[in-house]
Amino acid sequence: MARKRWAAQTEPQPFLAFVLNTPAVGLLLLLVVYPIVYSFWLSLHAYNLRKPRQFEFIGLDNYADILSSGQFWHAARVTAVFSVGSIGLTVVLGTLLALLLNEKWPGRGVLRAVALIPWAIPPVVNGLVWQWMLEGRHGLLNYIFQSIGLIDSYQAWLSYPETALPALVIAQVWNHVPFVAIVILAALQTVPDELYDSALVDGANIFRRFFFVTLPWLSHALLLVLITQTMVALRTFDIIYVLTGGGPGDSTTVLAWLTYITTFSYTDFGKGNAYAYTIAVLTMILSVFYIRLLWKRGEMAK
Amino acid sequence: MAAVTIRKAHKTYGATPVLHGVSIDIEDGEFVVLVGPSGCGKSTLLRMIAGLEHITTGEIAIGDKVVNTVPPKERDIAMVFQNYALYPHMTVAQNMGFALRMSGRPKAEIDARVRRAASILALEPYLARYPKQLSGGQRQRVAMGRAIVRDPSVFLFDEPLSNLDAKLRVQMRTEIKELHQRLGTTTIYVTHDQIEAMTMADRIVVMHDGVIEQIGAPLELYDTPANTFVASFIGSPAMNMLKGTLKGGDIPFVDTGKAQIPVPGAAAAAVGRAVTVGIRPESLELAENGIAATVVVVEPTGAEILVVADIGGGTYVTAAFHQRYALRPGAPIHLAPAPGQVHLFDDETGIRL
Repeated sequence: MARKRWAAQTEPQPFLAFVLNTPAVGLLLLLVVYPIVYSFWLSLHAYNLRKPRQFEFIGLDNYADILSSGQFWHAARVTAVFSVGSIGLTVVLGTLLALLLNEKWPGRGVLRAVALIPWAIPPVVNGLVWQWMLEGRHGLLNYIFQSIGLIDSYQAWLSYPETALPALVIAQVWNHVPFVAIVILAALQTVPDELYDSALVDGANIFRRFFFVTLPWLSHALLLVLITQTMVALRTFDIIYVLTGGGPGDSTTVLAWLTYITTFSYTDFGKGNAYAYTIAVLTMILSVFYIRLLWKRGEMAK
Repeated sequence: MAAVTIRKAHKTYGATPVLHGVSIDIEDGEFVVLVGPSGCGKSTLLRMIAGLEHITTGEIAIGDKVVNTVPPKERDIAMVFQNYALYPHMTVAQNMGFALRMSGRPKAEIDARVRRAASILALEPYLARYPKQLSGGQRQRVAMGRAIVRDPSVFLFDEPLSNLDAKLRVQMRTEIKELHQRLGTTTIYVTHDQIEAMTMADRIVVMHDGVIEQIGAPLELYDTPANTFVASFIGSPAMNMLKGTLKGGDIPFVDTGKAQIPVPGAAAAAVGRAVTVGIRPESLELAENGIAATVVVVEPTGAEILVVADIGGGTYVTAAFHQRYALRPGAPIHLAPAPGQVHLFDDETGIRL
């Protein structure tokens, strides 16, 4: 009898729907929407924990301050160099690795599994690993470079501006290449063999087959990878925290690090949140740019 | 245009043999269909002609030139693939001109040749479109356009119609045949569909398990199949096959145990042998003195009615009548083969007697 009543219930029940959805929606509002809105609200105020009673609405003044400060533009430049370097290397190396893992050769299965390991390592741990690698007195990198004759004496790689930023790029790339490789590998496996046969008959050599068949087929996957890697690069904080602390000097002070020290060292919550929003807007602009660049071509591949 | 000669071509994948010495002489301008069930090696053979697979032993020549080690692009062939293999990010025009572009032809020449091919195939309105914006039939036509743009010596088709619906398949069949008549280019066409083979080919090559069962004109294969495989593969509905013993007399006959089928003109030397009798469904007629049978199923197709009948002990035969006999399941009938329409095969070897 009870079953029948349930089954017969065809009336829409908006009230029940709201009740059932409330916990999930409430959680989202509390943990995602509220902080986002609140941090924007803070970014419009002069609010420093050193003077916690002073909470004054100043409109976009924080943003104006940021954009007119040399500190911001310096950090923007460092971020740009770090991002272009790490994204470029990650995507190129990841794609090459994917191409390698897509070929048939003995041991491929093992390498496919092994290649994933760096991705499974949390960024902070990755930073610690590279701290050991780059260490000035006992570091592995020093040992390797000296034994192949690349350097005469051990170097403190993280203590010089010229090597600190490249070191960060390398650590970042090592961490993220597997992700790119897996995404690209998945896309590679969907390329129909017939296209290569056809290109062979059409007289395309191996490079042209790559540029005319493989690469266009990968455009969607590359788009995905570029967007996620850009977000990752612009937000990079962990390995800087562990490896350089933004130094030496401010040579590795990226925007995310500037946001962190503004907020938590200078306790300037207003400006810190303005920095966070600036990074978010920057990421959005870049994503739109990527999509416009690759979408049309990628869509054709479907 | 060119003749294609295949001499004792063998192919093995590792230790698994796929082709056991295949020889075919394809004349210049001929339309040859390779047909057979899946796994018979027909696609492998086509890919060997294209240069996409190596030849283990033997020889393939296009024109006078042995091409065993010549790469595909230098064989002067064009190939149409089962799934069309259109480059998804290129327009129809770019797809069709790709091979010419790869060989470094000037842009004006490419444009002119693409336009000419497009006009032959009525593709002009679609030149700026992308493959995904086309229907299956249009994609198929673009794939053909890509082949004819190059004006090759040989066209290779690998099951090009298997992804189309039945109606479109019939239409494209006609189009391909018409195109061949118009261009006169040597064509090698692979299919598993014997009707496609029968309707399109100048000559059919029937393949089975890596060997050629028979080569011949469509009606030749239909009228005088060389063995039981060809007999049962060609023709739809399939030929009725009954096992029995050939017995002598005024008119020799085959005794199947349930029925006696007269085989006038059977060789006296074969008397006493175990044989297989083949009778095409349309060769069976209703006759008073024929083999007693019981109607099991009646299938009217419009043009004819197919009658599946039990001649005893669960042995079914199929008969096709052009007259619209009013037959019901369970009705007793008598069936006899039309005179001279009986095929006789050796039971052991399957070879035609």
